[in-house]
Amino acid sequence: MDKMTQGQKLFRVFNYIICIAVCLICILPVINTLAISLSSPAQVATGKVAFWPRDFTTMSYEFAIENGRFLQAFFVTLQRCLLGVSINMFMLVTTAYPLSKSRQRFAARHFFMGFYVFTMLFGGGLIPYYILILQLGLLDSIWSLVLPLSVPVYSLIILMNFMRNLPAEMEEAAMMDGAGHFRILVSIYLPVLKPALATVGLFSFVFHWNDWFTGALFMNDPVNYPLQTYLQTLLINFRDLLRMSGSDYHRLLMRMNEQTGRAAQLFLSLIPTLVAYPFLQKHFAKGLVLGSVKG
Amino acid sequence: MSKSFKRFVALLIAAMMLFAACATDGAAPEVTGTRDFVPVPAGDWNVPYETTVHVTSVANMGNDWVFETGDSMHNQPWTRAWKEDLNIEVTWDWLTTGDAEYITRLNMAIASGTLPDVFRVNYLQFLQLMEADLLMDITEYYENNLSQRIRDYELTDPDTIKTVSRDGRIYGVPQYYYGVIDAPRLIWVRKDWYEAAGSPEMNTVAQFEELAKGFMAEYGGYGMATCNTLEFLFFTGPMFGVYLGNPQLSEYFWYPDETGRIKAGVTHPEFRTALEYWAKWYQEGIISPDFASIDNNRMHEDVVNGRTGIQPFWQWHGWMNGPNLVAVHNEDAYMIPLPFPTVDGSQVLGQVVFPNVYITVVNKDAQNPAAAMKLLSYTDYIMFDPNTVLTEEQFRGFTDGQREHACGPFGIIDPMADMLQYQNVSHALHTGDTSQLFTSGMQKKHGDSLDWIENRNPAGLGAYLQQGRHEGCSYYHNKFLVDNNFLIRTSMWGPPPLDFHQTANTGDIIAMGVMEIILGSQPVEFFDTVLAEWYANGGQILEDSVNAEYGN
Amino acid sequence: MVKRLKKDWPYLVLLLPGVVLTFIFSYMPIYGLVMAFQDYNPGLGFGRSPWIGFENFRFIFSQPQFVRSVYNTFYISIFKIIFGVSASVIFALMLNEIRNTIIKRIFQTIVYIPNFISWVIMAGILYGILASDGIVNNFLGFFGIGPIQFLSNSSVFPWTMVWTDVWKTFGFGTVVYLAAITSIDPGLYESAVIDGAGRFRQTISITLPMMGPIIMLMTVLALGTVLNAGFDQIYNLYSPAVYSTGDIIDTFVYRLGLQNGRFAIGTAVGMFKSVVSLVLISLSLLVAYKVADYKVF
Repeated sequence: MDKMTQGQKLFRVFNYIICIAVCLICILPVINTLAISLSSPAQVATGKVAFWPRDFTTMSYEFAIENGRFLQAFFVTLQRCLLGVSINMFMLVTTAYPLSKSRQRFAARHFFMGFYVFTMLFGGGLIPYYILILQLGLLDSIWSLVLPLSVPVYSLIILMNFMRNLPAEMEEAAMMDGAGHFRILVSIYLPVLKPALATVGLFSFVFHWNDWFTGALFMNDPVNYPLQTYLQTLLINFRDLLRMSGSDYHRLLMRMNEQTGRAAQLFLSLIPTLVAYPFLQKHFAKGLVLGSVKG
Repeated sequence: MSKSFKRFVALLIAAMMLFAACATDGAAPEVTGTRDFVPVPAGDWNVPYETTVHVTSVANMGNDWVFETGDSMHNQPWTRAWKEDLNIEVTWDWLTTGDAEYITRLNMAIASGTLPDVFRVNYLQFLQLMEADLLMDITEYYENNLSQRIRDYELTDPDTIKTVSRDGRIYGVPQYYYGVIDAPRLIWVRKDWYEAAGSPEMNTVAQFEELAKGFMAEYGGYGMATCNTLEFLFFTGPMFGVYLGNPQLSEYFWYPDETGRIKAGVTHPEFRTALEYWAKWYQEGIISPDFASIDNNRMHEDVVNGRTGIQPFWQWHGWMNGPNLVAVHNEDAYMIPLPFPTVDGSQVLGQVVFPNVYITVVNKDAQNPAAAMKLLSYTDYIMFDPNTVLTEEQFRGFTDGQREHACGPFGIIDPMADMLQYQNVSHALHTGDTSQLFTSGMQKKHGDSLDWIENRNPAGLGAYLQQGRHEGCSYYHNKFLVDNNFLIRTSMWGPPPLDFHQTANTGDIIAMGVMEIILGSQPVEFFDTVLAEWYANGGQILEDSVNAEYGN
Repeated sequence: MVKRLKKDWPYLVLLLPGVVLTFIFSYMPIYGLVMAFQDYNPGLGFGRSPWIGFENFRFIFSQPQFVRSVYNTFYISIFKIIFGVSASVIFALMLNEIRNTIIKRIFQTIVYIPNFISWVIMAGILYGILASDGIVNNFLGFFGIGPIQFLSNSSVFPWTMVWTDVWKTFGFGTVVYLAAITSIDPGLYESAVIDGAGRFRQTISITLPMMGPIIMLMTVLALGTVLNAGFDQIYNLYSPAVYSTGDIIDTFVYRLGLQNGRFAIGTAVGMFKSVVSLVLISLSLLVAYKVADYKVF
């Protein structure tokens, strides 16, 4: 490995160039959008804003945040994510553990597996769902956003496969010591599940963070909309929102318009995931890989 | 490790319980009070109830509505006035922001049997509710508890009330509309560019093309703004003597051919002329080479960014792109309206579709339908009655920050409102005599127009370009069409026949074919094939049912 | 039975909360499927709406546009899967050749970023890039190609959808596959080196086969959603000019709903999709099991 042939050197250079090119293709449009969000509309109109803001302004961001509803919606989403991810994680761990056992150890395993896979494919549609939420008294409550889909099947499969791949001796030793299933789950399994939990946790977080439809369907007052639901309505009505700012209208329009406002929104809604992801990445990937294989 | 995870789990559970407590606490639904019958006081609509009446309702809000600090939809000038002046308390079961969400949510309420006392529906929902027998026959209350002014709307427009009546009984109150003067579309042109070109006449399509090409030569970009749904390109139909709807919604403009049979605009022979011109425009760059992929937002962005200086649009363009243009370019960069030119320079006709869209209906189980009539009358009284005397402060309370819509389903519009408003506002702007500005709407548009003229406040551009630019404003052009009856009304003067709902997306067939012809991958004759496909896949059903219901 | 229960009860207790919630929220509303066989009127509800047998199904299948959209859905989906998986695997292999772990980590993060951007926003970005005077066409112009109408030429559009989707999502696959590569036993490579295999040879005969299971899982799961060719993406980028090749089932049904609020038709289409997905997923599981002895569930 120490001595590289001419061909290998050439390959390395070539490889670096392609990798960098691919990364640029992925990141440049995002940077362009960021630059637009920080430029004045007049500069954007000239079409010259590429990767660096021109006539720098943070008005688009100030506008989105000062508008009180942004923060309110942000907190609703935060609440939803905390609650939703907690519920998902709890349900996933308790569900994946029995299902990771072989059929010999847990006879009804196949039945329950089928029970969950079925939900991945079939649903009753909006109307009966709404009626159910109504009858359960969950309408206009945050529970209507976090209780349904408490066992995401995709994540379940990953976590289950991860558990299947844990060395059997670990559990057997504990069994010998007379530990019950609950003890084993909490003190043997949980500590080593970290990568898998990071994976399904991120999935769950991203789902709750991004879902906007149920918010509009089950909340009785737009004041209680989660962030993405609010942003969705905002995206449609940005112009209206700008128009209402009264006497400062002109001054505002000099510093921002729909185009820059929309670009700013992208980054505001992207920040949490961008901040969280790099920390999770290591666990995340490992969890996914070990969760995919039943050797 | 195991210890920290145990702690983690314990924390999780604690957090869950904490949030559970918060969530149920904060989101508990309000109790909507009794909905018992309360006797209706004798006398006119404006006599208040003796005991408080509770009415439940729902509403679709705009994102641009602004309430004063501390106020909300639940407690705002309208709800307070209803309580004080009529002793009616309205509570909102739910609120949405967005038309699609409102329709979905209302369908859910219908399906789950949780309809409020009073709500607003579109025609399809009206028909479904009628079939399911869920609407109250309000004839008696319409006659006894609604103001005379609203009942007199039937004199201006005798047709709309028929669409909500069955065998002489009335099942809803139409919301009505601002009037025919709203309907005709115009061609909007960048003022600075137009004047730099010497404000040329634009009576013929050839002159229009010359202007567009002049703009392109001078400022680059392309000639006229259009977008991928074809909606705005179809606005230019009247230039070629053909009248069209929105293909994306499978909507058509229906009018008779020479045999008297009602046919969709796209099937009339003049449509071929339009196709020829559009294909030519695409070739010449008058419509953007990318128009087939430019969506609505991007189209407006292009206008604002100066990529094009011409845009076919409704009369309210001054609210749409005006302020943005002024902010990005210069004080004269807004667009001004011109009438559509025609191929031979003859007078263009303004097209008018059946204007009523929404209906306010009463739940069959509601206890106090009379209260709904009183509330509707109240809105009309505040907004349109010339005899109403309000202080400026009161009026602003009801209307600032788009709050004129905050009365929800109790909103109603005087079908003559915009015509009267334009006459009086333009009179005041011409003469300085403001004595005839008797509604709040008139005062507002007058004030806004002046605000642009005197202070160059772009927030006033909308009103200025609609009312205040004297001979060059959009309502001036539209009033000319109305006064001289240079109008063409759709023959489908009412809601679509029920059979319409038995067809799928017929508009797709048209849109696809038209795109192919404009993009040059098919000749104009190809449209024969398109029409044959259209007729075979629903077009025939549409045409037959329109003729059955609206033909002679 | 009792004996078994005695042994299995801890499992059942653990399963209980998830099963109860799933039963309530996913199984109790399932009766809504009857709507597919009704002329549904929300006012009449499920109880009173008239039964019309398979009329809804007959209606949608009589629409040439629907049949076309089914074809387009399969076409776009399948190529998205093929190219998506290939792009991720290839890029993972390339990244694996980079020795510097920090640079590797940075590259991984960067290619994953487009995943987080919603299609609404992404569409806005793509309109600019793919316009006839956009970056891509300017670039192609150097080679005397184009301008290509990526979004309005109906024969190019499906490929635009495939490649923009690959662009947006391949980073996710890359992260996964790269992790799979790192977890391969280094001993395998050592013995290969002893046998005289070069880097390329090692990749073909060790790395790729070892990645088999994870590639299989990703593909099987993707096949289950083959009938969702990406509503958000296509809805935000398509136009009548490309309906003939770009209209998918979900966009077709969406427009139908937009116009008429036809719940029953939507339910019928949903049911059709579920059944087809069920068949596809069963088939792919069977194949995975028979060919590779690989169990997903």
